[in-house]
Amino acid sequence: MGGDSSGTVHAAVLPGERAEDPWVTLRTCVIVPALNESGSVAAVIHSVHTAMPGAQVVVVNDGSTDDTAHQAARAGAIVVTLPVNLGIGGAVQTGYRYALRNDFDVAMQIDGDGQHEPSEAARLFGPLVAGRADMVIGSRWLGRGDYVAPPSRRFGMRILARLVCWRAGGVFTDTTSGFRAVGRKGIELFAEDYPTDFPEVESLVVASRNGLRIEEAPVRMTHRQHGRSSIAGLNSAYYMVRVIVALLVVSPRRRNQ
Amino acid sequence: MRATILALVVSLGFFLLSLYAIRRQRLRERQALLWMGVCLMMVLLSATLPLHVLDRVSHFVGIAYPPDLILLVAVLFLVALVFQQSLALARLTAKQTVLVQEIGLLTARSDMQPRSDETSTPGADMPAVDAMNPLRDR
Repeated sequence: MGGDSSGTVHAAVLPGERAEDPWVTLRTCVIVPALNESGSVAAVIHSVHTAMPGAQVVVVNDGSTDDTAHQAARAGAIVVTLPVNLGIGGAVQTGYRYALRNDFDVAMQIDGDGQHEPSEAARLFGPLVAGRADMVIGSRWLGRGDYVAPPSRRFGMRILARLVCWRAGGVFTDTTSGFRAVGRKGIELFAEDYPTDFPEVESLVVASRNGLRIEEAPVRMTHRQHGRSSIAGLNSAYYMVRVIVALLVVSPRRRNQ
Repeated sequence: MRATILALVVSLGFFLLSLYAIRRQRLRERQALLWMGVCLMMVLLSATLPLHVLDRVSHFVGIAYPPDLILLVAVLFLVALVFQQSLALARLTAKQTVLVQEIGLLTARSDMQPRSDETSTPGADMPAVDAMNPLRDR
């Protein structure tokens, strides 16, 4: 649905090309989930505004204890403050609900920690605008940028990619990427049904089982400016076990369409 | 006989406790029924202790040591109960998530009320957002 409406607007834009201004033609909502990111959130918002003038930034402040909300509002974002912490999945879904209520055509997710570069956003728009995909994932492993990860982490990511390829069908290289964009169809789906435990990975399966066409686009990512990954240290083994169980066991029940 | 009296006192005490909770509306209908049923079972079991009902039943089922039958039934019951509570908890969490999200969205909207043009055109929004002082004051 989102695919064909966007396709008619900007069918001329080729993938990978820097689209002229899809975020102006298409009403674009940039969802920035933020938990205690006061050090980086303003910079992220500013660079979104620079890269995509006209896009509306919605910062979902997931119960921060610092002045993330204040910083974000001062930088010109709409701030939705959740009264209690919901976790990344619940926060991001709030953004999708906002996008649905306010009739946005495209919703893009960018992390509030500065890891994703809004200047790369055009690459996510390509397949959406061309009508080839309903959901575009920014992958750091497709040759752009020089993102490096320790071997153990890469190994884990590869296993996840394999699993998701198998569960969702298709080819995925960067399943934990939170840098993504969806069209109208994706907004409608995720506003209703967005996984809470391992949203990045699981949402791929949810999306594909609900008939969304998913594509990856090469993007450059930097290492986070502030804060630490939510998947780090000793927790990562535990994370892997849980996410694998989730992928194997939990996802099929969402096949309700 | 003393054991029978002790068992009866304990189960009657539990019965009174659940009755109290129900009367004070601390328990909801469904749970109330469940606990009343449990109490009834306990009372029955205690009252029939002298009749060796338990011994006969466990012998019939093939359990040599009668108290094991009680433990088995109790454990199975508790497992089922905990599972049911898990389901209820998941249901509540899902509902709570929706509520928290709605509260967040509504609060953000009401903070923007003074400028009612809120999100109609994203392009025209940016200067307006800067003027949205209510958001800053948090």
